[in-house]
Order: sequence, then C-alpha cells, then structure tokens
Amino acid sequence: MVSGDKDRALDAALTQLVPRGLAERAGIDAMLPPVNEAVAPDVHVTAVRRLPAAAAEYADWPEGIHPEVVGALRRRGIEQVYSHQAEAMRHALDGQHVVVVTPTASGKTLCYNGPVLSAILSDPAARALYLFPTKALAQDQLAELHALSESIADQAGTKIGVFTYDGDTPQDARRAIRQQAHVVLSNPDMLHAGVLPHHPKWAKLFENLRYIVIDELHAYRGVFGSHLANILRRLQRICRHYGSTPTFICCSATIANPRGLAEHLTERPFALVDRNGAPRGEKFFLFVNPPVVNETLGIRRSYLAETRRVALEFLKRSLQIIVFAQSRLATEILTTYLKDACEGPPGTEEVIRGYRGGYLPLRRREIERGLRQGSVRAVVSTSALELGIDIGALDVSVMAGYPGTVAGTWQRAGRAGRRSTRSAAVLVASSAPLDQFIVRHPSYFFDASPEHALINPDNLHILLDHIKCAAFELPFTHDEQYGAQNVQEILQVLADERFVHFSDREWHWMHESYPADAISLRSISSDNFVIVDNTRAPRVVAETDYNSAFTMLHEKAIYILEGQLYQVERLDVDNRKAYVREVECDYYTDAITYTRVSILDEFARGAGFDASRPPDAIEGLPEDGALPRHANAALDVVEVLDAGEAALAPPGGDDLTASRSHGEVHVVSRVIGFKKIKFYTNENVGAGDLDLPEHQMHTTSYWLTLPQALLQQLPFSNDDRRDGVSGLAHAMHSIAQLLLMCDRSDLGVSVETGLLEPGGAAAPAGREQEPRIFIYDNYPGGIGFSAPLYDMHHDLVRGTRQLIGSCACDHGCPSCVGPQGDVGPQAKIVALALLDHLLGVPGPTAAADDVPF
Amino acid sequence: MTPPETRVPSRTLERLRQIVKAGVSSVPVVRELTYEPVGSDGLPIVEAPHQAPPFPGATDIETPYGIASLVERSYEPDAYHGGVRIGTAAVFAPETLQTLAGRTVAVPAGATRSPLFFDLETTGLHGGAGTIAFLVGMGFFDERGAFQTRQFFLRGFGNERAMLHAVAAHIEGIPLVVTYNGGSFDLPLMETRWLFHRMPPAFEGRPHFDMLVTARRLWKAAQDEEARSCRLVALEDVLIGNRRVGDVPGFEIPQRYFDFVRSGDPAPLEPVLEHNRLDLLSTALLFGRAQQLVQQGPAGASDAYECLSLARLHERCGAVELADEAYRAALEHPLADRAARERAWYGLAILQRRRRRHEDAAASWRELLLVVDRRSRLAAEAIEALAIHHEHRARNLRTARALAHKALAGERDPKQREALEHRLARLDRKLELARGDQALADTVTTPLPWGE
Repeated sequence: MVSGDKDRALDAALTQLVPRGLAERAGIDAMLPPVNEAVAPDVHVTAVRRLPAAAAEYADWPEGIHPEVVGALRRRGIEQVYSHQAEAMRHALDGQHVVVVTPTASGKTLCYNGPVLSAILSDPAARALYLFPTKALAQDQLAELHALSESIADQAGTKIGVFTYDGDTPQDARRAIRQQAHVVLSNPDMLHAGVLPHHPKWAKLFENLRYIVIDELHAYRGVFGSHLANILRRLQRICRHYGSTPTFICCSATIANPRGLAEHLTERPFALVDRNGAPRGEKFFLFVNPPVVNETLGIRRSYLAETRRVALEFLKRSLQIIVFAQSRLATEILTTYLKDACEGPPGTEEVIRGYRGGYLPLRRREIERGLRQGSVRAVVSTSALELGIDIGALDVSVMAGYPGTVAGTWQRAGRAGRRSTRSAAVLVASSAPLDQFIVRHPSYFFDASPEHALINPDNLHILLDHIKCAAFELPFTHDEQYGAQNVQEILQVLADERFVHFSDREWHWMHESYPADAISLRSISSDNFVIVDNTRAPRVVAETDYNSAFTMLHEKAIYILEGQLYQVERLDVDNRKAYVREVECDYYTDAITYTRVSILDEFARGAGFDASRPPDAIEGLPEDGALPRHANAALDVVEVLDAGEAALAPPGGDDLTASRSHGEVHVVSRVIGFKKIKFYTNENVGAGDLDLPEHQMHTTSYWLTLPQALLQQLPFSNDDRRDGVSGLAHAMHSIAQLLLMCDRSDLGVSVETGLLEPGGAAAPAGREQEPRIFIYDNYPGGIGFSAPLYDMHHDLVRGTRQLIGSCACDHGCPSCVGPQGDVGPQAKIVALALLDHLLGVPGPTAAADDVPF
Repeated sequence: MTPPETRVPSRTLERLRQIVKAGVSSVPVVRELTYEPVGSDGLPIVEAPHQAPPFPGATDIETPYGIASLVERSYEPDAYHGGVRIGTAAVFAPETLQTLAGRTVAVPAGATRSPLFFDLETTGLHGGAGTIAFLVGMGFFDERGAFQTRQFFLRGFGNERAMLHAVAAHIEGIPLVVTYNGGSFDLPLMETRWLFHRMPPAFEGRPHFDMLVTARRLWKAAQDEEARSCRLVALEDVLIGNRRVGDVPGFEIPQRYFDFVRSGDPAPLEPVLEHNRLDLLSTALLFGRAQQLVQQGPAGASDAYECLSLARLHERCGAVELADEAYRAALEHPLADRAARERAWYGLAILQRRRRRHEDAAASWRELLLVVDRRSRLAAEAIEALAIHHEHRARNLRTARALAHKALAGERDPKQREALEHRLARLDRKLELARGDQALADTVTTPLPWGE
C-alpha cells in the first residue's frame, strides 16, 4: 500500500472513531474527511489531539568530527545533522558527559557513533563500550554501526573492530574480541558477570576506554537502575585502576529528570541536550473511555473488549498496528480476541501475534521479522516492545490501559509513525482509577511533564551484593570510597561474615564463590520458575520470575501463552517448576493475595494535613511535576527533629491529628485463593482456596496514620469507617503511582484497620491500634519511592480528593474507591470525609462533581 | 585494625549483618570436613593480624617485589609411586607429542630438558580477578631421573607479586609445560594473575600439553566400563596403582587456605601441599606412559583397548599405516573381548574406506557383521555401507538391492527408512536402465556373512 492510501485508510478509521464536535474543538476537523452522517461517531472518545508535523532543524557538523566519519555518513545519504545531534556530539568531543533526550526516530545513534568513531580514527588505541538494556537492542545497533565502520574501512583503510559481547558470544570468539574490539556492544548483565570480574583480560579496553555509551537510559529505573548505578561504580573503579577516565554519552526517552538520572547513575556532572531537531510526521492521539454499562455501580464496558473494537477498526483497513497491554495476562487475552476476529484459512501464516517476556528468543526474533516484512499485521505486546527494537514503522499504536507513566505512554505511542507519514495512537482507559483520572483530565497528560525516574543505588541488598563483586574485582583500600559511600564499615561486616579479609591496609576477597553469579539485575532475587507443558512429551514453554510465580502459576491457575490456554497441574516450589497441560475453557484466573505490614523503624513523621494551602486549590497537582531530585530520608529526620515535633499534636486519646510517616517495614504476603473470571463478560464464575508459602520482605514504606478518635468522630458505623479507609487506600495507590511515575506493581498497598474489625467495638485509642494505610516499595530493601512520597504527601491527598470527588458514580466504583461489591456502600462518602479532614475542610461533605465525563 | 569514620548508621549495620547471613544460609551445602576448622590450640580461629609468618620447610626467595616462599621436595628415581618406578617415567620424546595431542606442539628443536609439570591450588574454581592461586606447584625430572617439585606458596596477599615474579623466572627456558586440565583452568588463571599485576603473562607463546585431553583419548574406553573416569586420582588408582590415603577433598582446599590466612596456623595446609605434589607426580607418570606407548607401538599396550585408543590417535593425525597396525593388534590381543573386536573392525572399515581400499573395507564390514549384534545400530550401518559398496564400487546392483532391502527390514527410524527407500527406488531405476547388461545385473552374490 502506498503512503497516500495509508493516510486515507487512517482518516477513514479516525472518522469512524472521532466525534465531529471533538474534532472541531481539537481544531482538526479540516484534517478529516467529511463525516458520513449515517455512521454514528464514537461518543466515548474523550480527547483528540493533533500533533502537527514538525520540520527539521539542521546544524553544521561540529568541529572535531573526523572527516572520514562525515564522508561515510554522506555515502549513506546523511548530508546534514540535526541541531540536537550536533550539540550532543560537540559536548562528547569536548569530553563533557552528555545526556540526549531523543524521541523515537530522531537519529540518536549518530549522537554517539559520531564522537566514538572520530576518537578511534584519531587514535586507533581508543576504545568504547556501549550498553543496551537487552541483547536484542545491541544486535540491532551492531548492524548499523558495522555498516558505518565498513564504509570507513573501505575508504580510509582503517579497520575498526565492532563486536557484541554477551551471553550468546561463542567462547572461542571471546579472546579475539577482547583483543580486537574498538567498540564493544554489551548489556549490564554481561558487564556485571562476564566483563568486570575478568577485567585483567580486558586490560586493553579499560586502559584506553574513551567513551561509555548508555542507550535507553530511561529503562534504568527502580531495581534495574539501582543495580546499574552500582555496576557503573564498579566500572569506574576499574577504569581508575587502569588510569582511564571515560566520557559518558547517554540517550534517554522523554522523562522529567534525564540529567538527574544520568548524574545519579554515574555520579558525574552532565550536560543536557533536549531540543529535538528531527522532523516528525503528523500524529493523532485519541483517548477512549469505554461506555458506562451500569450507572449506579459505575461499571464500564471491559476495556479489553473496547481495545479489540478499536484495533479492528484499523486492522480491517489494512493498517499495521501494535497493541500494548498492561500485563502478560491482558496480552494473551487480547491476542486471543484478535485472533478469533481475524482467523485466516488454516495453515496460512499467523497475521496476529503475541509478544512478551517469557517467550523464547527464537519466537521473538521470528515475530520481529514478521513485523518488519509486513507479514504480521498486528502484534499484541507487553512493554517488551516499548524499547527501540527494530520492528519498522507501524501505522497505529493502541494502548489497552494507561501504561502508568507519561513517558511510557509517549514511548509506546512512538512505535507508530516515523518522519513523514501520518500515524495515530489510541489510549483505551481501563476502569483503574489512574486510567480514569488520565482520560478525564487529558491536559494532565498532554501538558504535564513526564515522570521522574527514581533509583536507589544504596538499597542495602543491592549495595551489599555489588560491594562483594567490587571486592572480588579489586581489593578495597583502607580509605576507599565506593561511589558516594564510605564502605569501611560494610567491609567490616563482610569480614566478620568471612567474605573479605583485611591485611596490608587492603580488604581482600577471601571466599570461594563468584559473587556476580548470585545476582540478577532485573529483580532483587535471581530465582525463576520454568513452565513445563505436559500435554505431550514434556517441554519447557516459558519461564517467569519468582515473585509472579505464586500469582500466575498456582495450582488450577489458567496460564495463557500466545492465546493457548494451559491449566497448572502442579507447582513444584522446591524445584522451581510449574507443570501445565493444554486445556479448553472459557475463563481465566486471578489470584487473591493477603498482605500484612508491620513497622520496623520510623524514619520521619509529619503532620497529615496541610493548613498552608486553601482547600480549593485541589487543581494544583504538582504543577511542574517536580520531585526532590535526591529525596533524602536522613534529611527528613533532621527536619522533624529540628521542629521538635512541635508540628505534631501530642499523642493521646483525644488526638484527632492524622500523621504521615515513612520508614522501614516488614511485609508478609501470601496468595490465599483465586477467582475464575469468564472471558468477554468478566463474570466471576467460581473461586478456590490455595495453600502457598508466605513471602516476606523488609522494605521501605510511606504510611498515613488516621487516629481512632478521628474515625470515631465520623457519623458512620464502624463497618462503614473501615470501608472508607480501604476505599481511600485504593484511590491513593493510583495517585501515588501517578506522582512517582512508576508501575502499579512497584508499589504495594496495605491497610491496617486497627480495631475497626467487622463488628468490633470501638477501641481505646492508642497509637498501636490506629488505622494505617501503607504504600510500600514492592521490592526487598526498597527502591527509593517512600521518602519522595512522604514529601509529596499533600499532593497525594489533594490528587486523591480530586480523583474521588470527580468520579460520577454514586457510591464508589472501580475507578475511585474500588468496586462497590468489594468496599461497601458508604466507602466513597467516608473516604471523602477523611480527605476533607486531611485538607482542613470541616465536616463531611457530599461528593463534588466537577468533571464533565 | 580500626575502620575509619563511617556513614552507615548503626541500626543499618544490624540489617546488613542479617542480609549477609541470609545470603549465606540460602545455599545449604552440607559437607563433612576432614579436618578440625579450629586453630592449633583447639579454639575457634580468631582473626589475628599477623605479619605473614614463614611457612615451615619453606625457603625465602628474594625478588624485586619482596619475599616468595618456596618448598622443595625430591623423589628418587628408584622410589615407587604405586606400582611404577619413578625413574622409568623420566622420558621426554617430543616426536610423540604430535600423535598424543593430535596437533603440532611447537617444542623447540633439540630440546632435551625435562618438561615442566604444572598444577595450581586456588581459592576458587570460577576464575576471575578475585580467584587467586595460593600454591603454584611445578615438577621436573633432573638428569638422574629423580622427580623434583618446586612449590611456591603464597604467605599473604601482599606477597603475590613476588610469587608471580619467581614463578615466571622458573618457567624461563623450559621447552614444554605439561598440565592436567591446564588448558581451561590453570593457565588462564595464571594469565589473569599476571595481567592483574600488570606483569607479562609468562606462559604466553610457550608450548603447552594438556594431559587430561590425551588421557581421555587413551584411557576413557576400558573393558566392562561404559566410560572410565579420567579424573587424575582415578587414573592414578587404576593405571599407576596408587590409592591415595587421607587425600584432601578438593572442596576443602580454599577454606583451609582462608583459615591459614586468618590464623597463621600452617598445619591444615600440609596435606594440601602433599596433594599438589601427588598431582604433579601422577601427571608426570601418565605423561611418561603415554609417550612410551607411542614409542613402543601396540606391543607396549596393556590391553586391546589401549591398542584401539592408540589406533585412533594415529588415525587422527593421518598416520594410517600405524593406525591399521594398531587396530589389527587390538584384534589379535589375547584379551580382546567382543566389544573390542567390534570397535576394531569398525575402525578398520572406516580407515580403509578413507584410504579408498574399498575391497578391504567391504571385507572389514563383513567381519564386523560376524561379531556384532544383528539388530544393533552398528549392524545397520555395516549393511548400508555394504549396499553402497555394491552399488557404487563393486557395481553389483542386485546385491546392492538385496542389501538395501535387508537394511530396510531392520530399520525403525523414519528418517533412515526414508533414505533407504530412496536408495531402493534409485537402484530399481538403475536396474531398469541396465536391463540386459550382464556386467551390472549379475547374479546376486551372498551379500551377508551369515547368509540370507
């Protein structure tokens, strides 16, 4: 199909979806062909934005770029550079660490290939190391860099060695690569376990290391980022040992704090380049909210069914699409739906494919190839395809559910459309509170800054693991710092536990293990489960990490892999295996988890209400989205102590003062049962109990304490009060996720209702029994969310008030305080009363209704 | 030792301790130690900062980088290791190496000095910058035929550079390094140590012979055994006749060294040095025996299996006459069992086919069919080989066809069946074309030795 035809097909689909009035308001009606009046336009589109095409901004080649590089690029048709490329290259050539913010298809590779190849041409001893978050991305970049270096070799006769070095590199090739590679393309896992521990063999690389390139920088947040920060500490430690001081070049998708993240990861000062000079094609961005099917309960049509409908509008017009789902389960359900709708004759090639982590690599490569060649018309993916794996330019990106972050949403939208063609992105909201918040406040998404990527390199679990690795690699001296850390005392602990030994003023590794092997960078535990299909001869069909195993692979669970349903027959926890068998059924399963949190250590406590701002300022969600760059728990303690806790009301029976805290907690969770949920209708068709082991962890948490006395004051029954607290927690989870720019699963929420147990009498007030809402980091040791959340407490309360207050339901729904069947009839009113108290509004109020949808 | 000021708050330290401990106990390996993990006073080892004491029986060697500790021992030529007199192994025949290694080992021409036998004891088995060799064992035969060992011992971490320097000096001028599994362990580990200290890797460019690789080729196949263990202590037992008593289990070795570093007590390390010396000695004796086997030919072999292994070594490096001779020696060996004869006829058939002696090869296949189980894979291969022979070499299509039919009847594997059916179809076409041509379509000779 030629591109003009594609544009017409896209117009036709958009016309079908976009109501006339909205198109006019968005100022794009002129762009769309006249609406066929016979066809009712979709009334559930809540926003349409037209992102106009942008022209290119060019700049001169920066000084210092080697003429051979310019020549090679010219031969490949690149005559000029975009302004951001020139600026990034200029910094890098000057030896200034630089981070470039690059939307999809803006030519980011040149930003690092230019300076790196120039350095090598000027000094053949120079070396560079490229890090990509996955092997597949490194392979992708190898092809491009290889072509460029070949072209230079043909013309200038200078041979530039470019190699990937990862788990797939054959053993016998490794020695040659260590000697010959000017540029090594690898990933953090390989650097961590395969390169740094063997640094003497890489002496040539480390002695001459000029550039370290970190692509897809935004991928390194949370646990993965915290690990990478430590790997970079080790890397720089080894570079110091060999006398090199490399320059970092980082590329990031749009996030709020690219420079902050780069500086936090590397502990070096960075220059920021964020003015994109690349051209882009016109794009339409639609928000779709599934229609309400039950007004009183606030239940909407299934967002997966809605996604199916939207996707088919594009598919039937021969547009190539990518559908992003929020979970593995949703991916599989949508793949099934679309396959059902597009079933071709048996034996023909599948045009609809699923794609997610857990698929084996060969299957993934096959799907990527199918997308590039066009034989695959639609792919349903988890975030696995969000990063820059080359799948060519697709026409439409459909997102089933809000990806959870502004950055992630733009990233996924960017998988459709390239420089010159028209494209579309559609976000279909689920009934999750955050989704509803976003589609009902479109400007929050379109006009707000994207999220901050947070990391916590000093998470004790992670820090300790990497200090072991660092000690293995090079002895620590008696006065050495590790990153910003003084590690002497930690080393003393390791010495007491017989991992290291202090002699000659150095700490020597003295253990027979290879510490890097025990660490998995993608999670805090390196355990995983394999899934064995016993339908025919047993074979391994997929794998999953330890933490998801209990919710996805418990006995009788329905496990879905590319639309094929399997039932789990046995979960062998000791041997980390789940045995499944193919099954035909019309339901899937959803695990029920029970969680209990206890406080170990309170780092800081502050007042839970904010009298400084008038209560009507609730539109003021973080205007600039700004987070404290390095949220610092220790500092917070000091602040509170300085205030002498004067801000807090004295503890006592009559205390009506809610308080916020953050600190260390112990979380015990257990999967206690599951629900059977019917496909398409989402009816609950059964349930089962499970007896699975407990999962325990120490982590960090934010919590809100609501004094008994305060609750007792509310004119409701104890059960209603309890429901109100649960409903409040449900809504706070979403707003916390929004504020922290994290995945929903990064945060755990637990409610301790104190003595407000069902039917229980009012308790004598006392801090120990007071109801609390915990929002904790869902990783052992914490990954840095709790202290910032504590600081954003007031935004959290205001945002939650806005979410619940603006919800059109009568007594609570999944989009605000949770489904009515789960939380009870008064939850919404009680939650609002509590929020009003926290915001300083006297007395319970009725639900406000300030949002049009 | 007092650590400098710290920024880790003390409540965090307790957590740290818990995390470290939890990490250790998650790998519950229960092993029974063969020594008391306590100091020589019987009390638990208390970390005692010490100025690396001299090792008992060790000589201090001065180097530009400090002191290296050397332990020297000598084994007289007349002494026995198991059932082998040590002096008999003091041979160095560089001309045998090509055969033994299956590749060229570039020993300098005219080298007569003894090779250097080399074996490490290390703080771990994983390699990498944090694994160190605390004992570098070397051995050689002196001109009297006595076996001399030189073991460099790492007294403390600060002495490694001195030790590496001294080891490099000892390697200077030797014609060949012989190890047992050094190709993948000892030599790369030493290379890492030298590179770690920014010293030239002393083994670079020096010829190396890994006795483990050759031992597997020579001695893995044995009578009544599926595959014989080729661990050094196992071969020491069956070939040299020495069963070690009180040998240190390998897994204990790193911990014994760590205990020494902490306590300064060398006693638990004495058996580690002995273990290392025995490894060196056994490697040397096995190396001697392997060279003599090549020198003496099949006559020097102790059983039919050694003849077979020798034949294959010769075949690998293209010495077809010698290989042929060794296969026949295996057949004629008085102790050759049926399995050995099968392997010998099979080996001969393949060898003759390679040499394009097709009639001889066909004869060997027939001989093989006489000894082999008729339903076995080997029999099927032999029948197919004979079918090919009759189709393409002997050009007796009818016989070829009869053989292919025979093979098909006994074949279960669908892929193989398909191939055979293809062959039969082709033979039928050829026979059709050759109708009337007596030369091609002659009478069926009895294709199989056991008749129809």
